[in-house]
Amino acid sequence: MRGNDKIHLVRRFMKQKVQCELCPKECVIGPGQSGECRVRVNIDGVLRSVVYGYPCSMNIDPVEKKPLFHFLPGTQILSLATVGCNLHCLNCQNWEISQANPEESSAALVPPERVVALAQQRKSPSIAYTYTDPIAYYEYAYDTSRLGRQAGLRNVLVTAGYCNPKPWRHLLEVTDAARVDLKGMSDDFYRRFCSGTVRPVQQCLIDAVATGVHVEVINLIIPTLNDSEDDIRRLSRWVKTNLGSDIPLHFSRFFPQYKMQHLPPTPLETLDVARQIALEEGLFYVYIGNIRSKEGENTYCPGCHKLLIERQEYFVLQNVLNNGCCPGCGKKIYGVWV
Amino acid sequence: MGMTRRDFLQRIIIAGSTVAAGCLVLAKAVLPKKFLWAKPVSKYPGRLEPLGSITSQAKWSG
Repeated sequence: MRGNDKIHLVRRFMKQKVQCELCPKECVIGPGQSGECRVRVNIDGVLRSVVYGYPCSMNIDPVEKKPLFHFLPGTQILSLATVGCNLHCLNCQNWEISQANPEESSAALVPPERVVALAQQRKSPSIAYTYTDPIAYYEYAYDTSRLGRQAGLRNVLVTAGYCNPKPWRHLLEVTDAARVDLKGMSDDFYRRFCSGTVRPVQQCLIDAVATGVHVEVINLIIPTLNDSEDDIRRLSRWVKTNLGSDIPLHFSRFFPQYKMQHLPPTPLETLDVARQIALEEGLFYVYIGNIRSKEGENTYCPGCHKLLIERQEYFVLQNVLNNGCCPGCGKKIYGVWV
Repeated sequence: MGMTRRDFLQRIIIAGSTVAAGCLVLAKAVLPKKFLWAKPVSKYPGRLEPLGSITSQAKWSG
């Protein structure tokens, strides 16, 4: 080996690796490499977010599309995403952006203050960090949320909740609502299909409820993988015991996507049974999504069973809530209504 | 000529400190620097394109 080669080797050895402490994967990233999320990169020994201020998608959606059924129903929400995700779900519906490399994607420069201005211009009362996972574009979501809150806007996280406790709690300080995926109830399920583990997600949910952030949980029911009565019962029980009966639970219909094309869509009957089980387990608000279902789309009073909010897909047909209370029995309904 | 106890201890301390400092430098070089917050970049690594109309619903789920 020549002298120059030796110097080169020593220099390479001395080049600093970085470790990202944002999510439980805690990727150790070599120079010029990215973490598993593809968007947090080691550039000259410094961790950089290459998507900060560069959303790949920005749209105004109904808040019911997130889905959030107990948060400003019937309003529009400015929704944005950058590419990248720290999980790699085999069934991801948005894999074209969540599993994309930033180098191969297109985006626009929209700094946080511009996002807030756009939301105000469009009279959107809230901003959603969604489509991929805001944990991957954490700093952008945080800074935008902080500015949004100063401007009187509300902030919504649509996330798989795969985050370390410290950054998660920090993000919750500027968050008004979180719609969190609870994809399954075992590490085995998370490892095989999502490249994650369940415990950090459960902890994120517990922390979010504890800090007073409005929380709704979603579970995608995938035929043969997490659709057994036992799976549904365990999940419902966990939600009731650890988060409370008030927390809305959405069962969502699976469609063959991405690397899970071999399974059929979830039958409506499975979703109906899941809803019944969750109600039996004592949850007050259980919904069915990604499919038309009259009862599964509506909100009923857990006290007197009066129809409170009637929905059709993403639209609110009627809302009879009176200051967040049932007009029949006066029961306070969990949610953010004004 | 024999070594005094003081000289001996001095040498031990110097040698020990040198080894400890070496280990520290080595550890600093080898162990990754930890980051919670990532810093922004000045240039997007992909293509820059306008986003199009934001008033329509997204085709993406969520």
